Amino acid sequence: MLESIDVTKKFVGKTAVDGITMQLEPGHIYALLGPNGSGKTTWMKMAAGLIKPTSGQIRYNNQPISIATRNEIAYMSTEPYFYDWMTVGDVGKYYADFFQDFSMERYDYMLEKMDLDKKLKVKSLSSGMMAKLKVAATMARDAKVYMLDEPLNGIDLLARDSVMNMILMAADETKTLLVSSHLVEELESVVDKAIFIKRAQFAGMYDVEALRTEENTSLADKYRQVFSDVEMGGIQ
Amino acid sequence: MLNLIKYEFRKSWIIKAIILVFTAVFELMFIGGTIFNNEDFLGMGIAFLSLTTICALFIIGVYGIFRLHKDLTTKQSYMLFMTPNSSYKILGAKLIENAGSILVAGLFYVLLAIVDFTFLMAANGEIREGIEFLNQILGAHYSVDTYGFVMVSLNLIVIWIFTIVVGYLAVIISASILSGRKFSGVISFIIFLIINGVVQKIHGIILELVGFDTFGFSTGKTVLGLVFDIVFAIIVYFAAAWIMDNKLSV
Repeated sequence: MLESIDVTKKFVGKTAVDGITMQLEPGHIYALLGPNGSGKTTWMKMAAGLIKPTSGQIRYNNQPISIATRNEIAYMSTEPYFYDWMTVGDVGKYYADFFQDFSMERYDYMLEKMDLDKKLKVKSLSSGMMAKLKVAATMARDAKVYMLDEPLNGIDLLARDSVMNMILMAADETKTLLVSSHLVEELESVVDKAIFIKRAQFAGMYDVEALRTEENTSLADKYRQVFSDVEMGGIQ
Repeated sequence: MLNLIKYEFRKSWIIKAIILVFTAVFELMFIGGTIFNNEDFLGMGIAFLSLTTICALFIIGVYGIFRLHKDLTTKQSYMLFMTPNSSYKILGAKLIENAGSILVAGLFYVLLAIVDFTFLMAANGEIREGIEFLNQILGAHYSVDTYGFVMVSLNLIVIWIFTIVVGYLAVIISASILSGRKFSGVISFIIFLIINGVVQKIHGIILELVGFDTFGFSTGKTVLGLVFDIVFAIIVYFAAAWIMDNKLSV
């Protein structure tokens, strides 16, 4: 179980995450939803051990996030992070060198499904191809927790389908999947729980099926309801 | 750890390959000048080889600091800090690769200098007389002999490695503690100068206490200097890795 206990992260002049407390159980696919700058990415990075919380603690199976938990938690950042000199094949070798749960066979399979050539240079990839590569590298691990930050960003509809299929392939009752995205409708058919983060604070966790049956509302409508008072960037 | 070292080497091998190509070109110039008695080529070969030696050690070290800065301040940092490796291992791999490269490069150039010198002496007997004359002028404290040359070179290489480790610490402080604050680069550079200054001061005091002359070469002084720099490099390494482990957010 991944547990966030009153976690706060402050940067100079800004509180990115403000006292978030929640629990993520195995066997579920969670959507992490909220407008830009609401703190989703910062929380994920803290759970991945990349950012240190200012206060509070994130625990995995009752152990604080540490070097050891990186063996269990696979994180995919929304930004490209591979070394410029790497090819698609090098990325696989790198993961295989550092993660014992990485399967090269599974990686090759995913690359094939997504039409990615191992000889391609990482720096020459389009944003869509890069998104697919990041997902393939992350999902080729046999981790206990997968955290994918905006995996559908910048990719076309067909590529989205293959990315979602890969994500679903990893799902089982022992695993926790957490996916952040702005594309609420896209996630609605895949996730069974949704976490809302509003102005750096936890704004509720909902069972998607219960929303439909008990509140007779869709996840997208719930999103609109929760964030109706939040000023969004861009054209209103 | 070996995998980390492997990838650290992979990140910097192009720089090293370029340095080797330059060295090979100037070495050919030197050999050609010696064999064909062409003083212009010989002079240029010696001058450029000397310059390449200094530049090589400088570039390898500074590039190591630059790589660390990039690995801490860009998204490529995830490649290191996502993996189940502690900061001690990550920094240790960087240090071993960089210090190892400086040491290997330093020893390579020392050996090359000895080989070239011997080659030059064999080709031109007058050089030996020149060196003997030079030793007479320099007196007891300084002498141009192979042993002294190797020891002083080794000492200089270790001092340079220590300087690099302090550079690592300054970069880590800048990225971890001063991250996002105004003048963090300037402050970390000042920290770098202060640490270096303090350590050199302590070095001087210890030499005085032990009774070694500040100037001139002696085996005891060189060995003490080596031990001193290695011990301080280890202390600075642990301090830097601790800061990374406890304060760094990437």
